[in-house]
Amino acid sequence: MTPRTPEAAAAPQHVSRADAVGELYRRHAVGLVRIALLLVGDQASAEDVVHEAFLGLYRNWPTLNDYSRLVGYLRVAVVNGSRGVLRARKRAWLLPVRHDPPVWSAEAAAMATEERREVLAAMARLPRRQREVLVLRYYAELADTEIASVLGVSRGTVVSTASRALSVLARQVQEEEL
Amino acid sequence: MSRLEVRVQEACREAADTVRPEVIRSLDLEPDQRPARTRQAAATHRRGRVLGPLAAAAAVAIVVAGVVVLPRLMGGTPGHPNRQTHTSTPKPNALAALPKFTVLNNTNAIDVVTTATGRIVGQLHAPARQGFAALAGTASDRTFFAVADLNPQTSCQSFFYRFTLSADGRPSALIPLPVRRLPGLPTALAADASGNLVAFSIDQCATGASGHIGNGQAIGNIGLFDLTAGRTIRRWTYTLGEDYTTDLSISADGRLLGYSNFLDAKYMVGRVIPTSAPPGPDERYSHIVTRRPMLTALSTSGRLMYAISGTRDLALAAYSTANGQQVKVLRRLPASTETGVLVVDPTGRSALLSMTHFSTRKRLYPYVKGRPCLALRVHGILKCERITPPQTHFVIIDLTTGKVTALPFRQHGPPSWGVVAW
Repeated sequence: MTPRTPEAAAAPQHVSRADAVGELYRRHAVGLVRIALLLVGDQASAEDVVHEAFLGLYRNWPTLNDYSRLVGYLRVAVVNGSRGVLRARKRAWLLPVRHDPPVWSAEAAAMATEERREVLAAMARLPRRQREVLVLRYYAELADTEIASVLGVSRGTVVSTASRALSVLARQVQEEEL
Repeated sequence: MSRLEVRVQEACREAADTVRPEVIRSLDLEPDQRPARTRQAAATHRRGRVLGPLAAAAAVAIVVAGVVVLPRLMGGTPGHPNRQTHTSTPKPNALAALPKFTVLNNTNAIDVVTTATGRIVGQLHAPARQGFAALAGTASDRTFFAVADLNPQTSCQSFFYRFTLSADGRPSALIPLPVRRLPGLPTALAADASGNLVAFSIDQCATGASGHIGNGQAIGNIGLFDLTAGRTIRRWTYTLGEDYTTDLSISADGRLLGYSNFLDAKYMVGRVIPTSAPPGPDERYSHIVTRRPMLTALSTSGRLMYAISGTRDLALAAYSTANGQQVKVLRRLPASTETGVLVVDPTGRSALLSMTHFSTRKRLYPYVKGRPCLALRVHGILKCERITPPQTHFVIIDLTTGKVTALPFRQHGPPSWGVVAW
């Protein structure tokens, strides 16, 4: 018997809840952690956010009514979870706590290009929703309508927010404005 | 895609590729899963790195600026950064006419600061599991309003409060406003001189907690509480391509609201809307006063809108709310200025501006293997960039002469909306 995939439109009856969520995790965790990383900055926090999202899915499984939209659900949960992390950090400015090196430092292993690091640093200074729109549009490569669904706003708002973000970014990285 | 869009995409991809699939923790789903790993557990997991990389990144380009550029802006002598949030460099003559107290929002608490000295004279903690989002003052310098949301944002709600200050600045307890809780995240707050009218902006957030995908199309609204009537008397919805506002202001008599938001997905505009306008889309009942502002604030009379605008160099200018004509350029600001909030004091004589400066100038020191640093390659050699958390400075700008005077307190972190009220 071929188990139904978790993305099937109706509730999967032939697989356990844990198996279904586990399969979704196997397929989508990396991509979601990468999105969260771009929103919160470090992998440990990004993994926490994604774990919370999947645990939320697991808890809410019996109440879900549209199994074709599970990935969308997870994206929403990841965006919301990332906002929670950033809020907590806003308060943490008052604490003299050492922090892990950011993902674009040598210790975190990875970004060889200073120009790209500068772009990410500038993105980190953008307002929350502008950053979310840029990550979802240029990294996750979602269509504006999909971004609108994830963020709970209209497509027009996505377009305006992206335009505003690029305009600010252009000023900060000294790129000619669009 | 434009060159900038390509740069954004490449930067995101390079950072995202640092996440290697083989090192991601597995998901531990027990058959009898308890209701979620708690936030406390997550906090323990991350202990010692609360001040995260994103915050560090925010610091990077702002490193030097607060020390170097602000004195130039003020035409004074260079000060030096103080480790404390609240410093002591008062200029009594310049500050004497200002409101006695300034309230600062630190999200989890509100600090009451003596404006002239920067001394904290009172503190008010947010209710459990809430964080303050925005503040508003009244003409009395003793009555203030605050709006909070859940912290963490486990659901999307706004909570409105009033508090008063004693003669020596001690705050009362928070008094919930006699209005219903509103769905949505607060983005701005303003009150008229009497404190009877309170205007707010809320932004719909992504939904998903209930298992349903957020798909709403109304992105938020500006509303008006009449506290004498104890109800919301107006709602103007944001429409189409508009973005939420974070710089709401209201004339002293409560007749006019000023704010900025997006027009046709192209640029910001500063708008005014009469508080007597019927409910509906804000675009229908407001009119545009100025185009491409970064921040706006109404004068107490409502006859002028002050706006900071400009792409290369910034300027604070006054515009007539009747016809949009520029009345006066009050002050030019360096292009490197980042602004947060513009608040006109109750007398209408001066405005408070929160600001810092970003700079591309880097302070480097040698890389030492194993020591955390923000690393970059300079001519093939690994260097570390010195990270100094940015600080928000507060200045007052005389609305007649344009003269700028620094206030003797600062706040950790980059400038943000909702952080200060008079």
